[in-house]
Amino acid sequence: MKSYLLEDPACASERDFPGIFRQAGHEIYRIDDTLYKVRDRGTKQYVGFVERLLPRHPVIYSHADARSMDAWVKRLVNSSPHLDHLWISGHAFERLLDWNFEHKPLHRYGRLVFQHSSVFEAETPTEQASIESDVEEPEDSDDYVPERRTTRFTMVDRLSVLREKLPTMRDIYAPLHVIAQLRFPAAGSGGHDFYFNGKATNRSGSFGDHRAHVKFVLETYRNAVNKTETEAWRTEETAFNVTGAPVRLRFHDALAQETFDTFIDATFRRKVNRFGLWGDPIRLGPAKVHVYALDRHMWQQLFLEITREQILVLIPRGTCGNSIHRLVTNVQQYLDPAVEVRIGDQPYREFVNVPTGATP
Amino acid sequence: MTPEELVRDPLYQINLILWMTTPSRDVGIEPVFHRAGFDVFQIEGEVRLPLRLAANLKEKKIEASVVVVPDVLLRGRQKEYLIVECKAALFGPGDGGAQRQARALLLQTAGVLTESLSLQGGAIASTHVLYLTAHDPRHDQMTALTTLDTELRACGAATAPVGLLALKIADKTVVIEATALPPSLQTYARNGLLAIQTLLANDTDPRPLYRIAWMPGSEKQQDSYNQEQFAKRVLASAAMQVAKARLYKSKALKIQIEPILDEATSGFFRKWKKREETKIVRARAMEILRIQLGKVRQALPSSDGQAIEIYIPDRATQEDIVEKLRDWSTSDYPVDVQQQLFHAANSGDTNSRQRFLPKQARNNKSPDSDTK
Repeated sequence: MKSYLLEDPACASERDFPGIFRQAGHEIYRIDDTLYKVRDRGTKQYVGFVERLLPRHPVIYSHADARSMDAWVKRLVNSSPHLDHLWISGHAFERLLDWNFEHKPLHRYGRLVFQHSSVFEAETPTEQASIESDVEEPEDSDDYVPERRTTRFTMVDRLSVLREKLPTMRDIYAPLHVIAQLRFPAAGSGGHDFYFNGKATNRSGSFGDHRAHVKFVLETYRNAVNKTETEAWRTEETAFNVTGAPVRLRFHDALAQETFDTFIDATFRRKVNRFGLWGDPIRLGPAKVHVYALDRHMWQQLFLEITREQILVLIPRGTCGNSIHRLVTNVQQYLDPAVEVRIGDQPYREFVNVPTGATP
Repeated sequence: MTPEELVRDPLYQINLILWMTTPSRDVGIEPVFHRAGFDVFQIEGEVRLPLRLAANLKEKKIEASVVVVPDVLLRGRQKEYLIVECKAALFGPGDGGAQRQARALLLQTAGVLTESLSLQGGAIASTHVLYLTAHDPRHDQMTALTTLDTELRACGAATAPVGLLALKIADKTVVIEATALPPSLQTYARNGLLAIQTLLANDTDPRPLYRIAWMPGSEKQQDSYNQEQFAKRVLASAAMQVAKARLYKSKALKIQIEPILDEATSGFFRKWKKREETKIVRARAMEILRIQLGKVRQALPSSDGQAIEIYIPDRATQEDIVEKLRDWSTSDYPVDVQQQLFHAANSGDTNSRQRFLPKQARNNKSPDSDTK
């Protein structure tokens, strides 16, 4: 069974919530206070259930085939300015992995998938760099593979081994900072695999345990987004949006000029781009642009200064903190796996904390 | 614009102040005010003189404004308040308006400011007035301020301490030559200088991201970046409205101009909307939108001048319009319109629907009439 953890930043009222699905061509039927049945209007088939597990976070549960359901959820999110996926960056997954080390029996097996592809370094990169990523790319094909750094591998080992070996391995190979999937060992056998885009697969025998883990991840994510918004907005409920703290993503190594140019071109000259951004850059020099941009998913503002050394982001009050977590996720996956992130003068990692009392 | 010219630009100055109050590290601008414990309390907020004090001064033939609007008011941890006023250049003899404003600011002692802001007694421990301007080696700029201060004290009026922050370029850095800083800021100055912003390569414009895109008066500075970033924020805000809009077969979409300008000015438009300059900005924003939207479908100002109406038949057209709003650049946009973006002489009457239409379109049906 798969769960798809979503965000509805406006926290639609009970009356408006069905409209989000209706706009995308689907129907939902209420079962109880927070649970609905979901029907695809095109195929007239029930595809699963949606539960408003936290006020801003509906979760779709489905037994349908993963390939078709992944695409269905992606279409739903893309067609609605009211919904977004969860965006769990590599840095955020590291914090969740640390929690596993502290709270799960260390003899249990953990499973990690690392994923990084420097798409903006490709020899003829623009087309490839613009394509939006899928959850899982086909692992092998006969297609020409351009020469650029691409990492995707799975590591399964006891938590005790992962805890001991991983820090050293990360020092040697930066893409190991980009966890794109993480398994939480279940209460019984098996576990719950969480993906960077909010998908979760139940590989245990218990739905109750799966739901508890989904809720736990949602609460941790919600906490991180709330803290991000508090710092990045920094204003009381006033009319002005000018005093928020910047989010700074500093590249471990400065981007090559060619990579910088490709990144700007592939992101802002194309409607479909991996970063889901809309904007027309203002050039302030060969390696500095300002973009008074929009997030294409939620259609909210964010202002970016991009140089070869770093990306600086301001989000006005009202822009969901989710946009920051998506940007960090994408930068780690496609530009720099070891990017250092700060929100204001605090490290990003400190924003991803398990809230007090939360437990699966 | 060279760095030397840039430090005279009031839009750059106020954005610099805001960056200096922002918690951050290694972003190119030193957050000196933040480190010294100051936070933004008000931007462009009114402060007043008690009527009794104004009347006393008038009797002594000293003119001071009763209401003034300093650019930024900062509040420190120890209840100390900094009144910061940005100026392209400091005033000289005969500059009556600026001097009346300066007197009113200098008279903002802790007691006066507490009353002016309607705060409880004891809410303000001390005040300090700081003028931020471009350094001018030809004049002793501090004299202009101390002269007024002496004049007020001679009349028996209590004044707040006043200091000067003079921006200049030294060794690829924007520095502030600081005179008479408040004690909490003094520890950050080295030999009277505060290093504020590191400049990048010579071929790179040093401007930071602008938090405030426009303010009354900034239109006097004819600068392509100021115009372009304002226009792009207007277009981005319009794109938000279009992208989120629900489409109706029998109704044109009304793109409301006030929310757009509010968003493009970080919420300041509401505050400034009674000012004369806002009419110019509103008219130009309407014109930019009408031209850009018109590249996809006919777009007309609504009869009340508060919106632009455009009929969007389907999702594909909606997406085309959003893309067209992004696809704006100085290279394909008439240069004269860009230059006139803020130009008062060319401001139009936004209520005149016909004025915006190409001749041929004036005879066409309205966009919603062909859809019913």
